[in-house]
Amino acid sequence: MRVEALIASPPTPKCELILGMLDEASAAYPETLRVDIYLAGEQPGMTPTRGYQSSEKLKRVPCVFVNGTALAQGEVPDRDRLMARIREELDRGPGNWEP
Amino acid sequence: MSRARLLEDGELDPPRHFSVEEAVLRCVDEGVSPTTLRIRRSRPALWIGLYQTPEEDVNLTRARDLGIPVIRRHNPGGAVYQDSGTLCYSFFFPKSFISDRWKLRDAEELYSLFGAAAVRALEKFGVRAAVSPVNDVVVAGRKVYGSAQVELYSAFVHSGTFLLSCDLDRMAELLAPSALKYADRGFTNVRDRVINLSEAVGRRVSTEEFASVLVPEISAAAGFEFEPGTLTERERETAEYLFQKKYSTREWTYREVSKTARILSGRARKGTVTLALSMEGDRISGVDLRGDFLVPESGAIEALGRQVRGSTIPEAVRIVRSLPLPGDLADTISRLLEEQS
Repeated sequence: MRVEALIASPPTPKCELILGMLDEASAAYPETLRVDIYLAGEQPGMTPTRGYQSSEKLKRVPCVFVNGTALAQGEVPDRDRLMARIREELDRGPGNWEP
Repeated sequence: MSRARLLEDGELDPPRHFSVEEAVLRCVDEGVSPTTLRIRRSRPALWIGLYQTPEEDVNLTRARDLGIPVIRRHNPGGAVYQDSGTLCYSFFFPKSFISDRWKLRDAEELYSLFGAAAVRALEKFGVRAAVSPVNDVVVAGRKVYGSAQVELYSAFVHSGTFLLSCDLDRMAELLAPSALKYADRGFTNVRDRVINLSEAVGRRVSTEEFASVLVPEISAAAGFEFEPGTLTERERETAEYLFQKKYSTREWTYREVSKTARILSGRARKGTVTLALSMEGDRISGVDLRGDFLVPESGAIEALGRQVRGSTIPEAVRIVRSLPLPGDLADTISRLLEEQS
């Protein structure tokens, strides 16, 4: 399942906090979670989820998307909320995960 | 009335100009810079929006012939041409001001707040100006002022640009907006759509003269009394960092190299391996390996980070295999790397 984050380029100290949370999430669900980081203004080297793409240009830095749905915009997400959302989406099963 | 800094740093070089712009924004977010009104000027340059494509939005061939630099801004919006006849300002503040201080419903309403200040400043010169929603001000139906805004965590910046005595012919030949954008508004080219204040007034209005009228209007609109100040040491350092890492680089403006950053974790026999990988095109630009695995020789992890930088994925896999790492750890790292290709 995909988790995506848009952060500043180069990352600020608050972006590093988000990266730390995403590291933790990735380690909590090895083999299952794929975390893609987009840098504001940079050409991404991978295709974002449809959910992420549909809100293109309206997004604020930072933003975090879980399975194609925005979780937090313009602020560092709450760690517990992020982990809970990831769990919820994982529980829905691979058939409901955005490619 | 609260006090804020008035910053006129005089940074005319486009890459450094934007390095300062973003440095102040970052420092306001960090809480180490005050609310600031920056009065900005630039050498002749083309500024493209954060999400634009230079090849589509400006005439690159003509810009190259004329020696006009192109630079990507940190905020969204359209491409603009700047020269000594344009004047910009940026007002930096904590995002909380939008609701707490100005009692606005959302950031969109700032366009009206600052647009009204722009109208009042223009009217001091005897012209009739009006806000053209969302983010422009027009005189005689032609745009004389445009604005944009961007936020970064807890910080916000609202910016505006006035056309005072800009070389509009040069602007017209350098901007390459899509025909569609203008067709639906009844314009056939850039020159028909914009106007200089000097033309509307019938005399030359300098940037200095206009700034002296604009600053009190922004002061009244925002509720701040401005006191001249300079960049802080932290802002200078941040600006230099952003100049080196971002605004002075061709990659930032032209986005020729796609960048990928991905975090992936895999299970090794003795722990979980987390790999944070950054790619520029097909080359690894950075790798950070973390996890709760045990490595007999800790130098191998550092060597991995150092040695794979600049390599392709297959080359990196070979490097991983050559390092003194436990077999299952090397297998997991290799697999995670291979998943990137």
